[in-house]
Amino acid sequence: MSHSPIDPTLHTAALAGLEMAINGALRWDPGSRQKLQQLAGHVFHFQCQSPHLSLYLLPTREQLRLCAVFEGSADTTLTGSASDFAMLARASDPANALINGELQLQGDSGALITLQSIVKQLDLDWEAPLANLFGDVIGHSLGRGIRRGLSFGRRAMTGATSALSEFLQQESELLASPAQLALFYSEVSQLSMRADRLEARIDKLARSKKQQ
Amino acid sequence: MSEPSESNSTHFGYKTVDSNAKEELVAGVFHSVAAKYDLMNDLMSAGVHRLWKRFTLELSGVREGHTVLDLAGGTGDLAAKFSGLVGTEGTVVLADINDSMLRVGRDKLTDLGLVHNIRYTQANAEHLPFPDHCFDCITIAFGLRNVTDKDAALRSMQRVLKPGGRLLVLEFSKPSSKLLARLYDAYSFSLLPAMGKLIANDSDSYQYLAESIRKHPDQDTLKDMMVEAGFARCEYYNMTGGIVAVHRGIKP
Repeated sequence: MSHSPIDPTLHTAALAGLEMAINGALRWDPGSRQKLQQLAGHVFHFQCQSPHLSLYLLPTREQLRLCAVFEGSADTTLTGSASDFAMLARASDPANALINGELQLQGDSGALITLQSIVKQLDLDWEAPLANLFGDVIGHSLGRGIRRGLSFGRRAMTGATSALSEFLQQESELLASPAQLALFYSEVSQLSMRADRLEARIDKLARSKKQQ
Repeated sequence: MSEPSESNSTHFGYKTVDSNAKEELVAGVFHSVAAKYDLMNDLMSAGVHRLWKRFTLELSGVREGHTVLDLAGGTGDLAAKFSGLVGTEGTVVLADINDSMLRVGRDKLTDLGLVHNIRYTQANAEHLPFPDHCFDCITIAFGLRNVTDKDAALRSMQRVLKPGGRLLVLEFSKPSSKLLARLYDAYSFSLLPAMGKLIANDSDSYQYLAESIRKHPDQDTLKDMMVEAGFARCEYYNMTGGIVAVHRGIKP
């Protein structure tokens, strides 16, 4: 009978942790809190299609509420994949990202742009909510685990990108390196200039031959 | 539907007792555990009961200005959250049949500064002392299995709800996987009474808790009971593999 493929306990735990982390960050950020007050009472509905997740975000005067279920209609509904949402969250120009991105928007986009600017500048501390949920010792260990995991993920992503680029350029020679490309572009540009000069010289020769 | 066939007897855990005696026996259990109820809940469920209650709160659809009855509200976990949701215009009534639990709940909420919109009532769920059609939402969290006549309690809740109001029953239920059911049995009948003995010096009450959960109607039976009591659009959500389920019904 459950309406979500995920057990509501897990869904709720994830939302409770995220909500606590966001509100923890907001507590020390009066500027964002002030912006948030403009959105009080607004209902955002985010529908992620891959993976299949749905969450409601309800700003109040002081904090954000995250819910798996909301009885009522949303003012802004955004539908898309996880990568589309991540792209919007990081975008320096959210309006452009919404227009040119893959996300489907229904309702008020102005409120969404304000929300994006608040979320983008939040620095989440995962340790505090985890410590509140599971106690200091487990919370600290989990927080350290998450920090290490995120740091490892970033390093692994950078390393994998670099290794893939090296493999494609040096080992398999499927792609040219940036230096080779720059040299190629420079040579093409020189060839183009030389061709222009040759064309001009041929034109000049042709004109002088006509005059004779 | 949920009671043994003999009309004057009912179950108290695995024991069969006189219907009139159950109320007193359950009261004895809760007088005994009231002081350490919150601590034991956290320990027994590893804090997960907070997530179950949070999801119930989301399903309640309670908004500013609503009137909410938190039945068998015990130490007031849900009432505290409802107090914030209904705001200054709304009212939350915390009701429990057990005065020890009600006192612990009232002290806890008062200490949290939640006094402006919460009222307290000692009430039996089978005979609610409220007029017809007066609540927007009723919740009963981990309380229905202790009620002697569950059908009468559901009818009483239906009576006091406003048309369109909703009832939410959060209660232990039947795990959906056999492996989980086996693990859960081992936990409830060996670890749980031992924890009760260690923390609250009362293993019998926690033995009763484990037994009463097994005697409680499963998800579909409870749903049928709600339909029988006059609720419409009845549905349930399993949580933590069906160890707990939240049932929701609307008064037509």
